[in-house]
Amino acid sequence: MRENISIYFTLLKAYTLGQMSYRSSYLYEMLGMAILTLVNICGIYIIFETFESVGGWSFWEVVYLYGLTTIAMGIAQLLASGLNHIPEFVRTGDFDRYLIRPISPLVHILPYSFALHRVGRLIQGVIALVVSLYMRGIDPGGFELWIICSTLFSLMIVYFALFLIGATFTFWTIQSAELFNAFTYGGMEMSKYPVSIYQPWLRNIFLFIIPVGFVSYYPTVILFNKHEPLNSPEFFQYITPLVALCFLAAALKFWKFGIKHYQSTGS
Amino acid sequence: MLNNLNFPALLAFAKTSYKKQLAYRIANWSGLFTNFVFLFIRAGVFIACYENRDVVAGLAIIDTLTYLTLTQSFFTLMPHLGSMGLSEHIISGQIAIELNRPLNFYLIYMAKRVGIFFYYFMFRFFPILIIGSLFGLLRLPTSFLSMPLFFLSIFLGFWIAVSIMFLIESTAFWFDSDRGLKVCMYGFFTFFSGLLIPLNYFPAWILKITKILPFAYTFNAPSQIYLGIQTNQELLHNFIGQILWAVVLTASCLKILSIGDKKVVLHGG
Repeated sequence: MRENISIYFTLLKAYTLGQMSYRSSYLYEMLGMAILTLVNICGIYIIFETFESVGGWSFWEVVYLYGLTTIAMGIAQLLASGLNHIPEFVRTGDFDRYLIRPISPLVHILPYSFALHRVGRLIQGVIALVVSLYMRGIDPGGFELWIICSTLFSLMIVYFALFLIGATFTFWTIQSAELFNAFTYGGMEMSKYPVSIYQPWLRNIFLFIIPVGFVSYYPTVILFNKHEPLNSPEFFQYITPLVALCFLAAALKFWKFGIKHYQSTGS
Repeated sequence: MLNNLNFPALLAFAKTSYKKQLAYRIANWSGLFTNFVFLFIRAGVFIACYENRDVVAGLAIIDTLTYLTLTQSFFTLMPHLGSMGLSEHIISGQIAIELNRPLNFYLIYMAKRVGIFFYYFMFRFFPILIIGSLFGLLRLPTSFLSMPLFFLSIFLGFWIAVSIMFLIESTAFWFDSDRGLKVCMYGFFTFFSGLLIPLNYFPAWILKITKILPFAYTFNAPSQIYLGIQTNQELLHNFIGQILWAVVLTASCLKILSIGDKKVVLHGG
């Protein structure tokens, strides 16, 4: 385990240094990301300007969810950036190289093309999160901080697990993970609003099958002391990190299953 | 600049790119699926917003859902993200061959896009409208007489979107990469075109900015024609705006291509 971690960081450093040579392009990309965040928050503002409240939630509460989503997705994308290349590696047969090396193929492939410029996205997410907490009048004591951090952690884990599942599917489909990414990015779209506002069938998918809604919604209900219209059992609010870890364990199991049944392409 | 308008050749380019697209059937299915996941989530937000409300900003809930379904159905017709190959051509040097063809490169490029447009028109646009109406997310147009205008408006929106992307990608003549600019443009595009939130909800001061930008003439203009809520005068303004932007952007693309043509320096030995 310790050996794996040190190999991971060595590879990470190498890939990052390699990418630093395209600096100016990354600056523009960070600017673009900032615009993207800004227009998204403008969109939320227009909705609240028009409708005042959405399902009993206020503007700053939804901005908090947006910040949460942006940070968690940002970290998950950073960690999983190598997984995007799996379809290409499988198609070209390059993936075989990862299997015959003496380290875990996952550790080897994760840091590939580590996209450092995405850090900009994280910073904007943090700004949105901090401002929303301040404007909502939340004084972050120990309890609040614990909730915020554990929500971020769980959401990040769930997104990462989704990327892993998507990548594993490509062992069989040899196409991009597009079909499964509908759930990953759809989950991101969904968790920008409280899951309670959606129709039951859609809500239940994101609560109990792909637990993006589960891990972002329940802790936020405690944080803002909201009325909980779904009448879910109270212990749901405390087990979110556990749910996230179970989901990750299942994803890892699926990945291992995928590796075992991987058949190289070509004749 | 346009001394050689060889229509049969351009038609051949369009047909080939249409056929090429036919090969990616699974990709189209998964794209269709993604469209619907997003449509349901977006629709969910507005359904929650409309709780206990009938008409907001001139739109009833079914009008808003129709707008969302229409913009999803235009999603692939009017390209606004990703790459369409021009910047790669410039960076790889392939552009030298493209520029030496006896036809103007912009026209070839457009012809290829038209082929892709018709592919998506058949296999993405119509399926989304049909499935959308089965789920109760789309109402019928106010007037069927406006349908020819609606289709023309979609085509103009496509032309404007492709020309904007062409301009962005052509900056690769001067810079190493256009990725950053593309992300910026994507942000503006989703917001000002009505893809993120229907423009009907925009406060007056943001609408003022929206009206001087080309983006609203892609997704929003045809959607308004379909909905038929705007006055005839507003619809006419939208339509004239589309034609003007299509002309201006086409001229800019041709101009920038002729400047880039002189500027192009090929990498490699």
